[in-house]
Amino acid sequence: MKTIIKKYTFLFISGVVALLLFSVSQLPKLTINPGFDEYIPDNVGNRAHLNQLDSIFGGNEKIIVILNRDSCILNPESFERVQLLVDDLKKVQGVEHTMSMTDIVDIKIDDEGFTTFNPIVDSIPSDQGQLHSLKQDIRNSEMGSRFVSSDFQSTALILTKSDVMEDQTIIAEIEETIENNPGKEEVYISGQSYLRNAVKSYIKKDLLTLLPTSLALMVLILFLSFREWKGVVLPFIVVVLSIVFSFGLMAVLGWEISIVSLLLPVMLVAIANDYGIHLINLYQEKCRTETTANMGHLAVMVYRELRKPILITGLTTIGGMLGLLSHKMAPAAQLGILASIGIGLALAMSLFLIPVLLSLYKKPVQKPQHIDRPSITEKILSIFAKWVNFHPKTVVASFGIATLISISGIFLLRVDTNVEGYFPRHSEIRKGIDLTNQQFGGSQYVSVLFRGNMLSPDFLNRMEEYTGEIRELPDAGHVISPVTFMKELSKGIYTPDEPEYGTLPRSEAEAAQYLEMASFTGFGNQLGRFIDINNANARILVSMKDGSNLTGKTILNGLRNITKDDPQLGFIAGPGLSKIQIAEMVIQGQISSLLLAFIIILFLLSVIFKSARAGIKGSLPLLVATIFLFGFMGFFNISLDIVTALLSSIMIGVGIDYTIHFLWRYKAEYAVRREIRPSIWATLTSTGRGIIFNAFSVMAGFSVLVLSGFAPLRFFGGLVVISIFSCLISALLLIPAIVSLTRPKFLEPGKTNNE
Amino acid sequence: MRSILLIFFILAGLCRTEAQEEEASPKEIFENAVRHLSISDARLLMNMETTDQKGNSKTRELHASFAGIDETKKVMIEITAPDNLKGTKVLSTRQQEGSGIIQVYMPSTGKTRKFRANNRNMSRLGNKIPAGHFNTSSYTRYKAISIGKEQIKGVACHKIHLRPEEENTYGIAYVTVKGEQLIKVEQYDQNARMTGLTELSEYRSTNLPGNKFYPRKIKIRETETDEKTEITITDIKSITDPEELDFKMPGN
Repeated sequence: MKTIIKKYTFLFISGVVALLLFSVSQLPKLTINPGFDEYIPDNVGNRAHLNQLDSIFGGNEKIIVILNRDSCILNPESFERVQLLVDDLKKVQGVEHTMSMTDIVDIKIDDEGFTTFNPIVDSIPSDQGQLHSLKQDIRNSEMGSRFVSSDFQSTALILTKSDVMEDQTIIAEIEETIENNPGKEEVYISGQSYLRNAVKSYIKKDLLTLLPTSLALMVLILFLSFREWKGVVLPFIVVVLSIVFSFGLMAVLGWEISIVSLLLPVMLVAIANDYGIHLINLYQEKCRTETTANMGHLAVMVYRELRKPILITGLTTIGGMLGLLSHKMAPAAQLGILASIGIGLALAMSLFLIPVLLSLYKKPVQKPQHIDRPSITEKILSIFAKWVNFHPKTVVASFGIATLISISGIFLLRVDTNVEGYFPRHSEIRKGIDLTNQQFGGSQYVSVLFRGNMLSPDFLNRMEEYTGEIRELPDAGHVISPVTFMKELSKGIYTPDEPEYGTLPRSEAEAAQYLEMASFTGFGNQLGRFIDINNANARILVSMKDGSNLTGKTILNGLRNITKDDPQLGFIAGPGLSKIQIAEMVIQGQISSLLLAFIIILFLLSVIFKSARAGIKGSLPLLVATIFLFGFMGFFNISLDIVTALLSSIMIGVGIDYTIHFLWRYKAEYAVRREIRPSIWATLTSTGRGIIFNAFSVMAGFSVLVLSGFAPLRFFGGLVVISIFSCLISALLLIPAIVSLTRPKFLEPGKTNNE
Repeated sequence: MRSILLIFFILAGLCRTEAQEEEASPKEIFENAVRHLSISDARLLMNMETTDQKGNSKTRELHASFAGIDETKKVMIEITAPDNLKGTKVLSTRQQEGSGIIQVYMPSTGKTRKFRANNRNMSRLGNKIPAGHFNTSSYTRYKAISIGKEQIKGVACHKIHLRPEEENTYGIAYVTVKGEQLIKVEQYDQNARMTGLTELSEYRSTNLPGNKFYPRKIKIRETETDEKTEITITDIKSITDPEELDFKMPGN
């Protein structure tokens, strides 16, 4: 190291600067991807079916603008505002089509025998009787409930968005249009495009909030700990560099920033910090004790003493992170890779760059220093040592009971990947979502696709039956199908006294001619969303009253039961079901990443301590902490989602450090003292302080996540505190108790084989 | 189907000739081009292929008959293929003053239903441009400005900007300098976004009175839906002495 410092100082620093400049140059390439469908591989399950649906019926995303007031929305002022908004929204670039309550059409044959398509709402009557009549007409219309709420306090404008238009642009223009048409009504926007746009802006806001806050917190903690600026600056440099390098790598690989990526800078601040802390800590100790050594010598000593433990803890943390690679969700696997590389770089820079930079400083003049340790920590550790030494069985049994209780909580654990729940209840976007769900049947849809001869009367009658049964499902909102249109069209062909009025066609030819007339009369585009141009594919579109996983599953099961055994059923799929597929991936990924992380840690521990038993016993605190974490989530109704599912791998990667520190130090203490109790006491009261300090700095680092705009990230921040605390307590109590009871050979070198 | 109406109203425009100045104005050039296309007492046999944005297509075979009877312009369209649509008829009747009726006969029901053909209903009935737009009598309300000349597939064309007085939409028509043949019409909305494109090609001589030249192919594209329609006129026959009976719907 001396030689390295002497010969390669300039090279190290130049290399780091070059890498920094390159990474910074790549940063402008980074883009934000707010979508969640991309989490699912293209060719799998619901996503593959969605692609098929798009190829048959086109994409055609909807944006819903809702006007709401406390009184009846059917009044002249509101109606005028609706008309003005419709006219202006049609001009917005990217809006292909606009529909409102003025498009609720009554098809009938008038007294002169002309078929008419008159809007039910083309003015608002002042007479109360006529108004009541209008409300009845809206209620009786198939389309009415799509545009006017049942309490008549809200009305919806449904915009069809062009596939090629960017969310940000179109939403900004829509918002501007709404502002230019003021009124007494509250206006809310919902739909997938608006949701994505909101997610994107929340991600930007979080990046600007979380990163500076976590860095500021880190600076504060470092200064309070070391009371000198090099103790702040050197670890700070390492952390900032690792963040820049990781994001630079993300840009080079063409990966996009997502909600999951927001964890990366926070993780690096919390974790990458630790190596520098240990180095500075030991450097300060050496300054006091090695009075004759110069800075270069001190740097070498620090490096030599800490390289092994830092390397080990770094590798185990990386091992835990690599467990995320088993996730099928790309952003989770990407986070695992980037975090591993970021931590690896931080590790390398801590081991080499910090000593190199330290050697450049002048040795400070030593003044009497008080080791600022909270005395309460010493007291707590002494108590822990007493418990472990004198009541190890009680300690182990207590952990056993806590584990059993936690296991029961695991059965209450639920998975919820509903993006709608990510936003706070008081936010505008959440209000819009809730209004859409409660008053307009929901904005998330499922398609039931049928294939074959879609014009056969037999099939149309079955479809009519299914439509009726689906309407009875409690969580189903709007149910629309080609039969809905055909029955309406028949009212323009037959008079009310004819039996065919309001019924389905009786032959294929009649059905084909109905469709031709629909095309001719301007309903071709609307009908094209439900039956394709060659009449070989048709679908029933079902909206869901809320976006929760439970509702999605209930609807899916209901649809499966209703349509089972139908020979022409293609599949059931939709954006509303993507979250179920994501949920399945979350569960699979959770299990696989946990298993992988445990296997890696088990292997590393076995190698480090040259004993398979070390691997098994060393993993026990992590197993207990993991069970406790999931039990806690189950009892407190915190769902497993795309963010919280990443926690366990991170927890394992970080939490194992405490166990390693304890075991490493115990081995050294036992080699000198040759007795268990004094060795445990010495280990806990010395390295125990470092472990507590390390754990609290990690918890503090992750706690900034409570400032996030996303509920899952806020929960993640809170859960990290719980899980790291569990790892801490397990390392300070459970492991020493197990060591005391079992006296493992790998910790007592020179001992005979009798254990 | 609604595209058919658009084309048929172009083809069925009333012919009113007026004395031409030596140098024709842009409006006159356009009116002449439309006049060349307008036919009466003739039957067109055609195939119509419609393709949606996903590339799926369907084909219809049609007869379209044109006649002027008692100062009333009539267009009768009958679908002859595929089988389940065979016999479906659409009759458009347009009076001199601009009002009209559209009737649809569905052989499966044996019923004929009629629709009022005013501008509002025509837009609801699927025409993006009101029928009167292609009636020469309503050109007085249009402003036509020449915006230069352009080569279209090696042929020099007048480029004429057309805007109806009361609307913000507009169109650009391309008429060949030689022969005054309409070969392209671009339609734009109030934000200058193209909403439709119609191309007429493969003009050939016919045996109709006046040695008219007619396009064999008409391609229409609606940019909003990206739906394309290609009409191929396979034959043009003259109708001698058209009678009211030839343009009567079953059941009426």
